[in-house]
Amino acid sequence: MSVPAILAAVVGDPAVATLPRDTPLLSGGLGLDSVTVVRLLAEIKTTTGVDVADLDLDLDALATIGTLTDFVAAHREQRDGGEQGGGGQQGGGGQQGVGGQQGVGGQRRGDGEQRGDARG
Amino acid sequence: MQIGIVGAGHIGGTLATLFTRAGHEVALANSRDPRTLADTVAALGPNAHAATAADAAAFGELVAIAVPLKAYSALPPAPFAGKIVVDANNYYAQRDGQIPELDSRSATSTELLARHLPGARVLKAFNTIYYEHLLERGRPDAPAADRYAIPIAGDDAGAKAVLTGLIDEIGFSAVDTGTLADSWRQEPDTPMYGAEVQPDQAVALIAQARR
Repeated sequence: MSVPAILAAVVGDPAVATLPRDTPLLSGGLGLDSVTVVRLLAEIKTTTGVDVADLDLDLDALATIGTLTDFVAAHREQRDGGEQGGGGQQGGGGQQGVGGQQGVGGQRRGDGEQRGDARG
Repeated sequence: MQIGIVGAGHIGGTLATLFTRAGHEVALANSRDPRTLADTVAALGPNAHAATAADAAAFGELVAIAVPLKAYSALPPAPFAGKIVVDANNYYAQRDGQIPELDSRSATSTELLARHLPGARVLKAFNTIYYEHLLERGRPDAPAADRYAIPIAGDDAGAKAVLTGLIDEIGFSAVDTGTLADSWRQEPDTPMYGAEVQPDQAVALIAQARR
């Protein structure tokens, strides 16, 4: 299950899955409240095994749908030990570049990011 | 709105200042004789008066409680029934004594208060912010997204809406951390505790809390 699909399920609105990647998750975009974010991160952890709140200390991954999708994809592959052909399920490399457009990207700590780049 | 405030220390006194300034009527109580608050309420102006804890609770549509947790059990439950009660308190074992349920994290401190006040619509708020910042850093003219966040928790959506409006009036943005059972996300030793951040960052910090 992709991050946009999980998000749509948590929000309860299928249309959310089709929103642009640069849609902000919080103010100026979906306006998710903290209760919804807690549920979203719990669902992502259950579904993908990636504990975003634990891995991303600044939670910059919460900037947009795209940054969260990329963060989860990068850490999921890391966790799975670089499984062969795994990139297909995330649509992988194509998404990596987009994260760089985010203003907040610059402050990011970046284990997952760097590994993602190296892989791409 | 008529507001009761039980506890006239830093947070209670600050809330009394902010709410009277916003045009609300405040009954302020401490644990002693109301006459000991004569100077305090005189300084607050005509919108404030001193009261006993029971009378402050009876007076307020919303009642803020800013007394140490160990003083909860001395509060008379009856006048709080049906009221919106805002718990500004934190559990500090050194001050309050060890409370096994809180030490084992099987309850939150505000759940303990809610059990003591059956029928009250209990919320948690104002427990994470330094009182001087609460007094000075509200920005009623700023857009909500630019203000500092005040986390609130509770089980009653209507009560939360009232408190959110009050917080807005004094220049902050309420950020919902969930139910009273979830209110550990704004207790001491979590990322949001003491954090001066805007609502979006608050949402992230609240999501990051670990028990």
